[in-house]
Amino acid sequence: MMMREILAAIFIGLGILCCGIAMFGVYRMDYVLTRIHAAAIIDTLGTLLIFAGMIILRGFGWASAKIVLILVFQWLTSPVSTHRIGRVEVMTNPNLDKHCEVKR
Amino acid sequence: MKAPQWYRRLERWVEGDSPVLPEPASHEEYYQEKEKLPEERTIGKPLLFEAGISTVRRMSLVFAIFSAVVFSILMLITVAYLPRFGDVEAPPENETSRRYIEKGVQEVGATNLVANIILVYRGFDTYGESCVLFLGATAVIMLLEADRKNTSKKDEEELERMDRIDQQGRNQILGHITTVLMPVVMLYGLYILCNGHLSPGGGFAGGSILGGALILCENAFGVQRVRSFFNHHVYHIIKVGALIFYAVLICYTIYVGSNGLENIFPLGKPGSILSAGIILPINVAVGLEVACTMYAFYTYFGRGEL
Repeated sequence: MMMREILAAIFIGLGILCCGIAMFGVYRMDYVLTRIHAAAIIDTLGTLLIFAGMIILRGFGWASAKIVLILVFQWLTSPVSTHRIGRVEVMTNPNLDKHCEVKR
Repeated sequence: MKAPQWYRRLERWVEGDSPVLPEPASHEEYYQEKEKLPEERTIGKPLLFEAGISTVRRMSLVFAIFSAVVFSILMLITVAYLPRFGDVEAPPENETSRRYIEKGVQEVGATNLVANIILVYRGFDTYGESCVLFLGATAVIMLLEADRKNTSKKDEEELERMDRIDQQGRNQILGHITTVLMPVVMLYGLYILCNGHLSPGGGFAGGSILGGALILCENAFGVQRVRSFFNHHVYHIIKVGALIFYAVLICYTIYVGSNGLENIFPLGKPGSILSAGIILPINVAVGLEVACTMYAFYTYFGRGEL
């Protein structure tokens, strides 16, 4: 029992660390394309680690099945929205080359 | 005719100018001065620039902190006097709420007590809120509707440019994901809509999920695709029809209830889908109206038409 809680704590702590890094990145970066790169960490790696910790803590059952479902929907939708934001920025910003050092 | 001096001073004070600086010779001169930037004026400078911005900012900061501290202390003192959670002597614990809790399921039939209260016991009030929603949506659409008189050529060109960008940006990823997700989101919205009398949720929550699904569809497949099943006519029919349906049901319930007649809507077995009399149809009507309103707001803010 003790082992399981320690393992869950490690996972959840790592997830919170990921979210913290992403949060720091969102405020530290100054441009949309770099910011979404930082923010996407929360939705993918952060949620994966935190949900894995929760599943380890509670064991398998209906609750963990629902958590897995939430994770699936997060992973389906969040990268798409990130991709969409980036795409719109690339298409509408006329001064894109000023922000990107590498040529398109 | 020249206005009296006190009136001119009042006018300048209302306009945000300093009333103590020398007065301009004439009205024309005054308004010429007002056209300039605030820093360049010789007369009628706003108070902010006269005192120096930093001083005003510092004073307002001190005032803000002071008022925040005072109000938080007042609020904390008030919280200390609030009744405890679950206290029998507390003012909200009166015969009304006791009646709702004890007889709600028996009298109205829904296991979700909140739905009982807002849709039947206080149904007239909720009907008024729906009318407010309807009027608000109508007013917003009146303001945002794009027609010949309020759109210039430039606006149309801008809209066309955005459409072109949208067309180029429409790619496989969003389309595929939407094809997978749309049915699930729609089903979830309908589930919340139809289970409003059994579990938390109901018309407003389910309707906003349906509206979100419509917005997703518009983003992925374009407005033409959505117009094929949800255009101006459908919008008006659903919106007005749902409100009238709601009004008829509420009037019928109030009439029957106040005259002691028998209600033709069966209460059914509490906990099953087809139960609780008028709550299920009302939830569906409210949900349709909310979904229409959300999608209409989205498109009207974006392009000015459905």
